[in-house]
Amino acid sequence: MKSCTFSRRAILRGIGAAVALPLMDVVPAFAQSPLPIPSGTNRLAYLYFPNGIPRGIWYPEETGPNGELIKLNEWMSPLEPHKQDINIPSNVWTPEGNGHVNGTPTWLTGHSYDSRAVNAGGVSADQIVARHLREETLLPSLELSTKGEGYFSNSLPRNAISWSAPDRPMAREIEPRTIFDRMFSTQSSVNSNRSVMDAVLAEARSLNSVVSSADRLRLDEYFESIRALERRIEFAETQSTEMANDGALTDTLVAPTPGIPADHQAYIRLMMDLMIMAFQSNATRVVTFMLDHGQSNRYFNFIPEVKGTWHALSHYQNASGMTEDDDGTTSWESVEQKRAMYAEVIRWHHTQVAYLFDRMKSIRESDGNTLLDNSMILMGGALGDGNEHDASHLPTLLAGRGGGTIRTGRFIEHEEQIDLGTIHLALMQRMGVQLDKLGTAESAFQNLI
Amino acid sequence: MPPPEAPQPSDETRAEMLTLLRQDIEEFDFSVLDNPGFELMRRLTHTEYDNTVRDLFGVELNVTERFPTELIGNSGFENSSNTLFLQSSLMERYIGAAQTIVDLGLPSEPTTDAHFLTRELIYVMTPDANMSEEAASTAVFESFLNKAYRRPVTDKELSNAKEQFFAARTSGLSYEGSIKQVIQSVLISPKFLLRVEVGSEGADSYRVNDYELASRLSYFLWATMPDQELFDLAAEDKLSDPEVIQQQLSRMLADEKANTLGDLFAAQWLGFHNVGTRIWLDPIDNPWCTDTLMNAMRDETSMFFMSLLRDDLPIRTLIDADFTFVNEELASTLYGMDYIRGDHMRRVPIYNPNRGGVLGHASILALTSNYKTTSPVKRGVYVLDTILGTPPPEPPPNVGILSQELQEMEEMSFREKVEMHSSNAYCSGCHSRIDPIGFSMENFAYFGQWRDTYDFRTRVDSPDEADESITLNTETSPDPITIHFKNTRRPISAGGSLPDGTRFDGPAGLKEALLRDRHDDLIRQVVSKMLAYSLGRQLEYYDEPAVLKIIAALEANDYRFQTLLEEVVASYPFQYKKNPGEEIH
Repeated sequence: MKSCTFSRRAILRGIGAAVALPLMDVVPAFAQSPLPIPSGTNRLAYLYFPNGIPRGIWYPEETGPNGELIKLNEWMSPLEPHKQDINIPSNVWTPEGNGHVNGTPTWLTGHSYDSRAVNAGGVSADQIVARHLREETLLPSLELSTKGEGYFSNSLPRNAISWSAPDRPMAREIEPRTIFDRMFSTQSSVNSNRSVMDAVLAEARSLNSVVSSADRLRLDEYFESIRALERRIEFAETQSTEMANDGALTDTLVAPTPGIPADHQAYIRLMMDLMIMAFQSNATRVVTFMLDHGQSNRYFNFIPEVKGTWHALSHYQNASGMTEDDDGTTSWESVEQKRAMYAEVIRWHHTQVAYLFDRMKSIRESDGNTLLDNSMILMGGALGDGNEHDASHLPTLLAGRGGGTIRTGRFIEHEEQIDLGTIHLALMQRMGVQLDKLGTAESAFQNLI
Repeated sequence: MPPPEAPQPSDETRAEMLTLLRQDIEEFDFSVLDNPGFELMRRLTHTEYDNTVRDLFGVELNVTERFPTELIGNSGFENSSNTLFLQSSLMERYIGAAQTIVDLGLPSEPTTDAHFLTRELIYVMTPDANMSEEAASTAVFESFLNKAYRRPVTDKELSNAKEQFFAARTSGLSYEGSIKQVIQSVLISPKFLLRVEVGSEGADSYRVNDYELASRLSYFLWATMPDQELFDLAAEDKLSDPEVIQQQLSRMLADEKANTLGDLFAAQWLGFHNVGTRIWLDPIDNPWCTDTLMNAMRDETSMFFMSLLRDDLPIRTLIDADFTFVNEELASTLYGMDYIRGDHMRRVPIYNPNRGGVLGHASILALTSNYKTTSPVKRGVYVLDTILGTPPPEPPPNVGILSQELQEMEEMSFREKVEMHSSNAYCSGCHSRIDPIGFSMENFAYFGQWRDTYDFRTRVDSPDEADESITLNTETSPDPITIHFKNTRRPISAGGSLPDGTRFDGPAGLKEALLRDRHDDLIRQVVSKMLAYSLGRQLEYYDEPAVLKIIAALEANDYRFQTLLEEVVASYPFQYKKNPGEEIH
């Protein structure tokens, strides 16, 4: 039986529900058409990766007199074709909140983390921007992660980089199909029946007079989540179907198969495809993607010549295979060998990121820019050298021209440490958020143009 | 402490300072605290949601499978109020799930027994010649809303539901379709999704009402909604009667729904919920390590814990017991008990003083091992932290140093190990307290198998040195090749000590020492964990009077588990709450 009573809310159908859906289906009519994207629209994405890097594999091998990127180092080589589209700032650090547990939740807030109170000190940069833009897109933001492997897969601080309030992390999506459905799964019925939702809201409001004032906070959380859905429904309802005729877009809308791809590269690339779909269709302009959780123990044995888990590799100074981080069956011949494998895992991720950049450059927008030109993608993490466990020289890379507001192709060297928060501020300002303080940062990074 | 280069206080000064501080804490009059605490209204966990839906519709639908993973914060339990967030992405899931539930549970053309059962539970009346649609639907809504909101439905709520029903009817939906629309609304209402408790303004603490107490009991003991008997008692205002609540406790504990205390509470406290998911071995290299084996490992500890509760055993039995639960696979694969037959788990006596109690369970021994090697450090930390609630300090950054030394551990004698540790002052401060506990458990291999020796197999060149030779066919050589191995065995020395220096030998000695010297810590830890789980929050300083009261009652009752449960549900924070004020923050 197919109930049509939900139809106006049908946009929400099938989400998280075990509704039988065909395994692969091209969305036939672009029922939930996005508005045409204003030209030069800027997008913001954060690609987080855990466990740091072996010191020295981030900065370029050769630069010009003004920091022009001439040749990246061998571990960054997958990004060589994109070096004109990126900037690499040096000497980035976070004054507070370091390591796996404290650095992950505060990477985008710039504060320190209080694990007892579950508090990241402030709203994260992506969520500030998301709130600013929430009227303009279907979803204020998308929070993506890969499915955790090994210890700490359900540890809260290691899985939270986006905070809608200092004590409220955003849930993260790990299944490609669910993400697709959140953006595109709609039924184009015209029957409008608000009664289900409206009945709930009317009922729920009456609770306000019953519970204590402290509990009203939780109710606010409920209403806020409902309101977000309402906005989304209204947004979809007011849209034209113009975009349905945009073959370039609709042809790419192939719904992924439910489940998690077994091949990790296929998985990450599928998630990246979804990021691109989100940007292209204006489903959202703010995406965070945790390439792995904050202390990933994932095996990268599928990369030739790499063995052991990512976190174990990051403690490369001990190659015995007998530390608490080790699995007891993997050991290495030497520190050098282990360090090289650790670097290889980073290089593998650069290969995936190169795929993302490649695709974004192949998409031409109405203003003549590529999608990458109209985006800002910050890739990095909250640990410098994984073995030393410090927060200096944080691996940080910025891709895209921010709609022409960023001059790319440069190694931006600093003698003094610069607060990662200043870069967040510079990007947030380019998304229209007029803020000049974030966490410990009190001004925006100036040297992007 | 001052930085290393600054002048350091003498040992006497340190001891004096410690005594002063301890006096302040120990002599503090906790009875002056009058605060039962306040846990922010929280949503159902995914497990609680699935269980509640099961009880409402009489069928297991497990619709939360694709919900975002529940994350665990400091309390160590999924049910902690401060980590149960309600994000809009989750709200979308609830809306989708509500649709799925009515679609799957109440199809318009029922075909299975489950369908008919659900219809009976939901459609308590059906319209016919003698019964109007209005009368029938009113009965349906009254019955459903009473259960779904876990308290009597108000007239206003009932009339709202009817209004929604008639609007749907008018719009052309069928009778059942209209009922289902109302049910969908109820399933996404905060009254269903959240554990709503009526508030009271003001600074005084107040008792939760009987219906709320019924929910506190059922979500604590069953991880699901109250059943009819609890609702009936709440309706008669009887549940606040201490005697009635204790009767209900006994009844509820006997119900199989109480197994969640083993499967959720004990599993999340002791960590064995990770066995089979994060604790596993590659099945290709270790064909013996099957899913069924790992299920049995989890079941062993869960069932063992439940029998401690149901048989009202002393808390010490957690550490030292003369029975456990096994099936044939677990018994023969890991415990060397070859006389057990069949797949079902059953209670068996244990005659070996080393094995009984959770520290001899394969689940616990596996989760405190590295992949395929034991870790004395992990086991030592586990005993100090998880079992006794006295965690050692966090390791400093870059912890590899000690581990590097551990590399040769297995080939050293126990004395050598200890000496090596004490040679590195930086590490020995903590590790001399941690490792000896783990060393005493070294006879348990990485999945809990008993061993008397460390066995090494090294490859040797000639058959003369070898005591084992294997002939293999390989793809690279046309002829079979023979590989020679030499087996070396070293006896395990399982001497250990507690941080205070008490020495003992082997697991049996460890257990004896723990129960003799650290019994108070064990009791406090079990009490704290159980109370925190029952409240769905972390404990705070103002919970101390409740903890002390429970401990005192336990002391008078041979530290029995049912006394613990009785005291938890009778405790001030379990029955009362107080609006958060300045003092909390």
